[in-house]
Amino acid sequence: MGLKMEQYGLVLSEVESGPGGKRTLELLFGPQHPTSGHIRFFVELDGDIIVDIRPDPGFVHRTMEKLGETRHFMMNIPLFERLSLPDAINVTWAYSMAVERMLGYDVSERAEYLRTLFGEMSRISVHLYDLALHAIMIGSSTGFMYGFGLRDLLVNLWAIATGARTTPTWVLPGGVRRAPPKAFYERLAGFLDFLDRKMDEFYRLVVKNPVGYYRLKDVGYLGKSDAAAYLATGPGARGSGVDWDARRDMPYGVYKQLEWEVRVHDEGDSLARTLVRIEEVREAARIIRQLLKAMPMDGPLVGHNATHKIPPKEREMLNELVRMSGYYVTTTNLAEGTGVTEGGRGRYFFQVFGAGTERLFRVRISTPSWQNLRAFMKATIGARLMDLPAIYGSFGFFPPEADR
Amino acid sequence: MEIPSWLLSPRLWDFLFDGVVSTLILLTIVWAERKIAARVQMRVGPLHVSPRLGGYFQLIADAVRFVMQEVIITVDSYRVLFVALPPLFVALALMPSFMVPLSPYLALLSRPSLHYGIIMALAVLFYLFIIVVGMGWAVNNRFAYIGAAREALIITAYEIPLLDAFASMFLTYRTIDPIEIVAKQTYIVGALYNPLAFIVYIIGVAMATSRFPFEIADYEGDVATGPYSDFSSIFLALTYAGGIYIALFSYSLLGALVFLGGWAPIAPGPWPADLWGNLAAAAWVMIKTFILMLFFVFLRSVMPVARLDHTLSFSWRWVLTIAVAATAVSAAEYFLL
Repeated sequence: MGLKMEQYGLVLSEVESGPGGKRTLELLFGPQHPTSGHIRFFVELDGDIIVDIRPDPGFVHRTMEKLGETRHFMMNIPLFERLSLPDAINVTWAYSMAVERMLGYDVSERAEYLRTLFGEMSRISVHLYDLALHAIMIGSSTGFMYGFGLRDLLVNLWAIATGARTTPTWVLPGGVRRAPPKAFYERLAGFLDFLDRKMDEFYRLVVKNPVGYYRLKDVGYLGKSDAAAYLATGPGARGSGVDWDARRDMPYGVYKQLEWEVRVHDEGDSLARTLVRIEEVREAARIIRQLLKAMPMDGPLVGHNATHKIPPKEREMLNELVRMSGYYVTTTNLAEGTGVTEGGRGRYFFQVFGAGTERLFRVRISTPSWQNLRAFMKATIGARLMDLPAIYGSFGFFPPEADR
Repeated sequence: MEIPSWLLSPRLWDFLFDGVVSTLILLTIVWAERKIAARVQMRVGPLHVSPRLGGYFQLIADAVRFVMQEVIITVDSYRVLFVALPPLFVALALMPSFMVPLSPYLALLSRPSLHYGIIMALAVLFYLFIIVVGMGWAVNNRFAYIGAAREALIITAYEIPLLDAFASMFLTYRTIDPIEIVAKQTYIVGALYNPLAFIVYIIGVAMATSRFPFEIADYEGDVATGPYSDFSSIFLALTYAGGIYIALFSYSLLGALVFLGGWAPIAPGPWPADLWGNLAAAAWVMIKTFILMLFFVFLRSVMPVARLDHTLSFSWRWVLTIAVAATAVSAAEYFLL
């Protein structure tokens, strides 16, 4: 931009641009803005209408891919978790899947069930997080507190099972790190009932509320072909009628054995994307209820191949927890592997290339927020300035995840 | 012991009562706003400063913080207006409450100026928007500029219906004199005389004091508190964090007088004419004012923010229609009652 101080204010703020020499006002939206997150948008306004918007991402770029090459591949799990802490399980699951395929590990049946259970909890977590931020973006502080209040109960469950509220570091190549105690299962059922009730209240308070409804309805339209062309993913695509979900179309975990639906709305506006989120929370609760019935309560936490990497003395407690010393003396193969999971915001993709040492030669990461950014920009053009937060929140755009 | 006559002056007591009680009400309403919102949102709200009082002194702590904070005047702002407008905002917001009587005898003004008290109060309150637009201009920041433009758009939308609502009530009561208006509400309050005007009043005041869902000019989501975005410390307390509540107090006081029956007693019969009777009448007015304010701040817990264009079209299309209908109701009452 290169604006001088005296140019920034009202004095010289209007610039001639666009076809017909329309006078537009350029607004620097972020990164120090209540609702921008760690990203800046150059918003070009014609009156109240956004005629052009350019994103300026990269404020929280942490060189994740490069860092992934500099340390033992096991140490990448807590690192990549920080891509998107609300969606920690699905991120680490995708990475572990890629490493499993590189190393040729199998996953034990119990671990698959547990991963699916925690993946769905992770989905609930990220949806609550995004819905809460969306609510405060359109001005509803009650929706904000509902989302974060509910999510706090969920992360407490994570703390029971994994020892950490927001950084579980729980998925390992080949399985999971710890078995949840009995108290976890008992409290999970109660939490789901409470969640269902409170999600109904959230829906009535924020979405069905006439003010909230008209903030979202017919706002930020993204057509089906646009959503496909711009490679939107997650609720960004399913809210536009693109019926794609990695859980169903690239099956992993035990999703195939469960009864659930991919939620799709055809309207393509902010309301549709928000409804997809709310319905996915309910679907996730439905999946978890089935898993609680079908869950094998005993069995090794890691698959057969990974077990052989663990010293015999440390295999004794494999039904409760996994000692990781064996992993740290494992080296990568000269092979590659990919992992795809469906996170709350969309498709996570990891590709790892082994180097023969304990470090990976290369890690490629594709995150849903980055993919949704172009669709988000497309949906924003032509909207009003007050719609920008409503559209932002409906895509659940998360700069730390987009910037990696 | 002889009490000096100046100590019994109604003007002195009106001034003291209004000043002290309005301060108490302002502190209580901000505390109540936080506590109600916390209750709705499964939280505790302010607690740790004075836990026995439910965190009431948190407001004092916040006020001290606002006063002690460094005053920042941005480089490219217009310094004169930047400094002058926030105190002017509070002055204009509080002034109307001194223009209306709090009981038949407690009033700062005397006739004939008291006769026009409500009209003058409304006139002063409608000047507030000029202050807000001036602040948006003075801070010289694009967000503030957009917020100020919004404020100017919104006043065009609420000013006419709100004036119309009050004019309808004047038509119903056949007078503009505040004391006579209250006298006419001994049995039926104004909100029942003309419910449509009351609805318009509620919506109009919510817009005028940027209560939810009409917190548009200072919407955090896109313009980052708009005209107030570059104010800090005491300036913020005088405008966005405090002054706007004083404006709400003044509007609610007018509403309590015109729509909720003012000091009209619960049981028919006049208040005692001595000092205590008058103070009790004034306290009764303040309780009604407080209840009205509670409603306005409660909206924050249940409402998102409406869009600017929706608000404008809603106001011009529906609120204005209701206001005209309210005038028709009042005209019917004028001829029938």
